[in-house]
Amino acid sequence: MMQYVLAFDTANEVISIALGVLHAETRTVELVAHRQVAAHRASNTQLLPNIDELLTEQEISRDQIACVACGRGPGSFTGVRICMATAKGVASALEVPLVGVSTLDALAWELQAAGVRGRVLVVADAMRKEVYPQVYNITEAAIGRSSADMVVAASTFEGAQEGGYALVAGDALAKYADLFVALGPLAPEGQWRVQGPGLLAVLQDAWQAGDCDPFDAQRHNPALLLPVYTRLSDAEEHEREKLADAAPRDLRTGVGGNEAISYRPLAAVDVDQVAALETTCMGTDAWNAAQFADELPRKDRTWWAAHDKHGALVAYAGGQVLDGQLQIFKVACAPEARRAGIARELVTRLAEDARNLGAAEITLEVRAANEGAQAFYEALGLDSIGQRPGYYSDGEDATIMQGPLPAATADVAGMEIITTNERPAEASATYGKPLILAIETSCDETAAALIDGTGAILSDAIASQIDFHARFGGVVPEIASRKHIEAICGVTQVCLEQASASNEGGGETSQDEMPQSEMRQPLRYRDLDAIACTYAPGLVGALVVGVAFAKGAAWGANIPYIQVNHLEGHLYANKLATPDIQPPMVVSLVSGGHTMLVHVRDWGVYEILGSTIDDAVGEAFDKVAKALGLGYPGGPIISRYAAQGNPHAIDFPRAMLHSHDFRFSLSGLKTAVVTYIAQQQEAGHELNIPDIAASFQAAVIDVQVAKAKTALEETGAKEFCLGGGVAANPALRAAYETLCAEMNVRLTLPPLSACTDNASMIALVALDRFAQHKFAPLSADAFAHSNLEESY
Amino acid sequence: MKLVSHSAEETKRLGAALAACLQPGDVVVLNGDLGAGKTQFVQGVAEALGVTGEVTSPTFNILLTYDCASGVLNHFDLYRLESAEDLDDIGYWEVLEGGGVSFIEWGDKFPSEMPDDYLEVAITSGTDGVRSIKAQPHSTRAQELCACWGQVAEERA
Ligand SMILES: Nc1ncnc2c1ncn2[C@@H]1O[C@H](COP(=O)(O)OP(=O)(O)OP(=O)(O)O)[C@@H](O)[C@H]1O
Ligand SMILES: [Mg+2]
Repeated sequence: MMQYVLAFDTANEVISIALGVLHAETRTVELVAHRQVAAHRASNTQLLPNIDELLTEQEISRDQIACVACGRGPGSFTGVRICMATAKGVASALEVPLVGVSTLDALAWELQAAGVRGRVLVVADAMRKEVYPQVYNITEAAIGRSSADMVVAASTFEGAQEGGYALVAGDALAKYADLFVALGPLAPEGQWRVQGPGLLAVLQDAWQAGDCDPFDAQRHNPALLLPVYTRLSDAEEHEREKLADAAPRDLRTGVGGNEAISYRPLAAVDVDQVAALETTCMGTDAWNAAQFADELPRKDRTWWAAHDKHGALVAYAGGQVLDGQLQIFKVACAPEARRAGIARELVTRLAEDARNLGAAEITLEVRAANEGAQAFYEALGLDSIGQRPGYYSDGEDATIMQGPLPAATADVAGMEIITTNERPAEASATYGKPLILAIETSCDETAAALIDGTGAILSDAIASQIDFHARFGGVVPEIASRKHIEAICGVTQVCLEQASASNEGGGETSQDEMPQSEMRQPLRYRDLDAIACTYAPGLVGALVVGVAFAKGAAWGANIPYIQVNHLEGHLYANKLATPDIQPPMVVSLVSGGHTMLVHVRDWGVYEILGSTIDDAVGEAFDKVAKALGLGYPGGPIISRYAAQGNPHAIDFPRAMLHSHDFRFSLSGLKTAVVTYIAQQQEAGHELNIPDIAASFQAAVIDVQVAKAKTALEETGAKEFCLGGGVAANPALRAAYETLCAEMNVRLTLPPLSACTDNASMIALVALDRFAQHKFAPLSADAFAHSNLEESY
Repeated sequence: MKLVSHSAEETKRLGAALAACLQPGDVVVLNGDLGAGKTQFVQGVAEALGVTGEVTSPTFNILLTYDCASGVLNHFDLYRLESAEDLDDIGYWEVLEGGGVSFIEWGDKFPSEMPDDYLEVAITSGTDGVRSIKAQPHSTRAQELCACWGQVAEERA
């Protein structure tokens, strides 16, 4: 059977697709077909339909695809992200290698095929008057790339390089042709963007050079591929320099709070402490402070330190990324801080940096007699691959250890994956069809869950990014569509593995549904019946990663794609707590992004009674916490202080309390609290934080509860439910308990884990939509807004 | 240019006056403390541009986009962002250069990430709901926009 590679790229406002045959004997890739279509920022809707059409046209089936190749950019961030998420989905479902290729190199190879020779400049548009330039020396045999990808100002570029190019090409010419015209003849517009065949040429070239192997699924695990982060690495570099010469910021502020150990990039102020600890741990091979100081500003290095709660340095680790390998130079831990998992944490952080710098492997030397250290590295998945005799200054041999970067599944790009299996005891123990994988990337968290036909959640995984956020001193979380790209394969993989593991232990699984022997195999995409994903509302740049991945995987596994409204997910989350819950019901959704009262007439039939006209409740909590100088997230902190304060101390406004509708307004309350704080401070009074917190919280709760009461009266519903992150607030929960008891209404407070964004709730909706055959086409997209009242 | 507002409604009216001058591609950066009235201002702009439906705070979502008669209104809020690299993640430059009109709350968090040509509007809270509003154009198109705004605001006062 012929084995094909499917290659595509959407980095530059066009979609280019190529199909080729892989000839293993000669390591050649033979072009079969290609197409280029205009994308105009719509590559998510056009990419998969075009891939599907091209394969159908060529009468090639999915299972003939042995490898997927995708453009890593540089180019438009949205375009690259869509391309990569789709490719990860397709390759994961097909269980084939995913190879990344440079978009610029692909274009250079197409110029080569068109007969262009000599020094050629390719310039891609990087927006904000910047370009990605790359100089090639194109010959009969090669494209001769000259340097790593970088981003420079379009205007300064002209003088930065001498002219005399045989040709200037690339999509930056669309905007800045006048800046480049003096440097050489400009290519015609047909040669500004990748057509398709060049993607295969890059692959073939790398294959022949031994830099890739389109049949090696392990080496080209889809989880490992990342976009070219040209500008981002600049930003990180900048951050690193800042950290290296400024006093370290307190990275713990507001992130988790009371952890004893904090981790941060090694800074210049640390080097004396490092050198001292080094002497203790490394004996005669110890480096001095100057050697460490010399390491810090280097671009290919990564150094991390761990500090105890008094700020004393207790451990450090560092290394260099070279030729796709992270070479660890040092991992040292003060004797009193050992056996606390600190070294492991540090290595995880080095691995994450290394991944960003393009590494896939880790290598290091360890003293031959140090069995403890060797066991530690073995636990991380490293093997000893040889010895370096007399490596240490005292003559001891070194054992060389090597392995993949600490697995992307146990550790998703340095983030902790939290998994839970909450199979309700009363749920049928069968492992019934349909099996649906649900994905949620609507804002800060990457999450996935697996549900079966009985409604049992087989597994649920979230890549908690809090840890990652701590890295550069985030007081507020970063927005993480980049993290979604890094985490999505790992989270979905963990979810599939977890589901099979949870079934293995059960023993009560029904034999007719699926034989026991089969159950023990890890679940695969081909075992699934559908893949679902949140498509709205939320941050489009984040949603699009989940949607593109889910569609790609659904296409790869040849199963339907189901789109789910995030808010409907929150409504369904109540089923997790109260399985027999039945509409009609009134649901209050209160989170960082939403504040609304919904009348659920039936599953799928919703009436939004009212929502906020300005800020969300969770947002108000966060902003008040910030104004009080407390950390993030604000909800738990405010409620903790509020418990000790007097809710009647300050009379903050209850906006819209008498508006006779169900709309909410929180910005007036926010402003009142901010103004109050400013006035107190101006008058030289010390702030009574518990009283302010309690009074603010009381103002929020009064309005929430009053409107919920009216909603219950007007609708006559006998079920009331609370959803969204703010539903974790104890005072709010208590107020609703009182209200519902008075009104003889059943109250459902979902488990706290189900209140915040999670994929289980998306899976519940998906199961109903599956039964109703509500499938979405390959052209489906992600949206910032959606109307819950409209069926979709 | 300096303006004064005495109420949330007046701030919205000033936003509506600015809306009358907007052209595709314009960028307005809104600075000012928590509760200064940045979102209120954009609500005034949106209503004048014919946006139907609620215009809410984009703090959580970072970017909310609305369709209106003259094209697209992009409403950014950089409050939750920590570093400039996050801007790439949200497609910041692609949206700014995408042809709609854009408003950016908390733009002063990233001074080096402002476009070449933008109108800066700084809102400062005084006592009893008074807000002083200072407009500072950066580059030529913003100067035109600012002059037009001043004129329309005066006509309507
Ligand atoms: N003259 C005024 N102009 C604008 N808002 C005012 C004025 N007087 C009082 N307010 C009130 O101040 C609040 C401003 O809130 P808004 O959410 O618009 O501020 P913001 O600057 O967007 O805050 P944030 O930094 O949280 O985004 C509103 O509740 C509004 O009613
Ligand atoms: Mg605002």
